[in-house]
Amino acid sequence: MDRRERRRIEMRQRLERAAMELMVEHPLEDISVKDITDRADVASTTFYAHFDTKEQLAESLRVPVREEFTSAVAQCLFGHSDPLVALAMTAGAVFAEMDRDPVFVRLALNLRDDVDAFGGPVDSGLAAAYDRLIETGVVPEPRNRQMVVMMVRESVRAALRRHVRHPVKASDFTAIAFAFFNVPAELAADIAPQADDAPPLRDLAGQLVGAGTPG
Amino acid sequence: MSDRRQRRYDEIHERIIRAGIRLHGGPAPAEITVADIAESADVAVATFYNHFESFEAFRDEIGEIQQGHISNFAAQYFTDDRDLGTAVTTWLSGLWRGTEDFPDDLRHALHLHAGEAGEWTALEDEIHQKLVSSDRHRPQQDDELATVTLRAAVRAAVRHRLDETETVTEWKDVAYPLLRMLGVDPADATDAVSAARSAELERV
Repeated sequence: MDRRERRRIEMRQRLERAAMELMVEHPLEDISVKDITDRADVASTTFYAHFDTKEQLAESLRVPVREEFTSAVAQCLFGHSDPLVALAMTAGAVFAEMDRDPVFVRLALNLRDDVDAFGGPVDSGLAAAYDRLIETGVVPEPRNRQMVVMMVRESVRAALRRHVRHPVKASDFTAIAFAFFNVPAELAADIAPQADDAPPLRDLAGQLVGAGTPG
Repeated sequence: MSDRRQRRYDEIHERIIRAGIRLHGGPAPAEITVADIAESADVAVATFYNHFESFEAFRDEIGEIQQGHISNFAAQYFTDDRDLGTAVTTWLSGLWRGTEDFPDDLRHALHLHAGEAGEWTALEDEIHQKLVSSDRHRPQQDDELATVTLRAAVRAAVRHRLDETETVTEWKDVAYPLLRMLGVDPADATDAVSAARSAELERV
């Protein structure tokens, strides 16, 4: 790769990073191209050399960030033979990732917006993990599975949003998720603390790819 | 102002406020204009300005009504003499009734509009107090986190109930996992749900 190409990639990455940082704070309609180029410290012509519009840039970020997040979550949720340990480790890993790269997690889960605008892929991962708990007899069949999954998803978003202002212990959130899933109290008390030892999400997912147990 | 004129003035004022609440429950409150509200209330734009100095003054009044609604929800259900299970189940039952009887007000009171990061300060204080003072097994140590979680879960559930077209979600579907999360003993949870259900049937 020649120097010009390296420089081009570096500029693009700076624009992307600046846009991500702005997108976790403000709705896209309130962000201008100038805001992005100011934060990235590049000229506006540089922006247009890479993207036609801010919407194009936003979409080029959201899609891969969400895909990376959801595939890492799926990897972690099914990366341990014990479904409860897998859940605790995944919850802990999301919180650890939030500490390491809050912009990534906030953008992936759309935490700026207190609306469940992002259900789909996270819900299917959670639903599959929940089914595993039910099938293995860890928890009883719920009255309304979809509702429980949605409550857990919104809880994790609320807990992470709170984590931005007040530190939340991953094990405390895990205990909440276990309670929603109706995990027996003693089992929950035994396993939830493991959440506090989890590495960041993408690291844990990477380790589990090596172990070869994708979901 | 004569009595009749005053009544007419109040009636129009109420109509404009109702239109605001109705529209505010829609998908993009930030984009609502005075013209939208006037049209929905079936009054002239000039009439709107007879009642409100500015759009901001109108929004302030709507906001005060919203806070009032939230406080009422809190006062009604989370009274001192109720245990946690009873407070939560009767509240959920009341919310579900609201989804049938006054969906616009409910969206407004619970800040369910898209894009709005609503706080329920008054209600959260009540719930938090109830959590702290209740005799229950705590699944987690962080009661504020439990309160925040409860808000998120209930908002999502009510929104789901309001928006759903095919499946029917009952408040009991929300009550059991929620009570478990709050640390209410399963037997007490079953009793509380049964009592709230009986109270509903009596009303019918």
